[in-house]
Amino acid sequence: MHENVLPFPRRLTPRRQAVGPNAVVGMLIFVVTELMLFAGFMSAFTITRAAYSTWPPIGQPRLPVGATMFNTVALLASGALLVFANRAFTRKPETVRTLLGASLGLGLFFVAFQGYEWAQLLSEGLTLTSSNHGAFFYLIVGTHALHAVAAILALARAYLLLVRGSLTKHTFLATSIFWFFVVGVWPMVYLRVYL
Amino acid sequence: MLALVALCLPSVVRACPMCFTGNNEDAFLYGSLFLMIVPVSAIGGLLYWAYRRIKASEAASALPEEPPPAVTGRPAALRAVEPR
Repeated sequence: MHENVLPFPRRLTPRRQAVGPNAVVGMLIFVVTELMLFAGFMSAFTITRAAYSTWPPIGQPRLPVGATMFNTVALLASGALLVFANRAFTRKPETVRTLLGASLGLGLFFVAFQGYEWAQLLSEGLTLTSSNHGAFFYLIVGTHALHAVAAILALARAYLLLVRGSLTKHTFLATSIFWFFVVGVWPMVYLRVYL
Repeated sequence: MLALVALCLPSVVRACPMCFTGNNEDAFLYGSLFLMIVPVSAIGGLLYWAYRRIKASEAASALPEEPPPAVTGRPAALRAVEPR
């Protein structure tokens, strides 16, 4: 063999490396787009609300601020438990199931309680077509509820995978990012829409 | 096209109940600022996270410097399979 022949095969260009796990990068991009969706809703709500001298408009039911504050605390606690679950995934795996289960439970409580509040408001006359107040309330809070339900389904899937022992760190992190987004957006929705 | 309609039929355009009732000029300003800041912050944060990940990956994959091979005229990969 000739002495100057290079060993074969030889890569001429360096191998490209991903910025991060595909699931995490994809979920972050999705979260950014949904963040813009909520930003548009909040901006439109702010402009519409500023055109009224009194808000909520006269004759419209008042929103349950106190009960929703309790629900907000439950949602924030769910987010905190999921943070602990993520940390425990590599350090203390035996505690992840309990933490994830508790976070999922609190998330389910939040959605159920929101549904109960909606039923109360509908019976009091606040509907999607009753006023701008009702329209924006159900639009913004309803969109958040849709995201919450989807995130709960993702968390439930992660829990099932964890029980089977096939949950990977990246899948768990991507699912958690979605729930953190739902938890993080809600206080802004509460402060702007309810207060 | 819409701008042309707005110029030719101002009374129709000003009939919008959202834009021309009440004093919400400040709300328009704050809403516009908010809608400018949010995407810049979110996308900028995402790009910064990617930049930090790339830098960390490059630092982790940086190989230590090796001494230059002895000049024998044969590539290093072939030197290991010298015929006996």
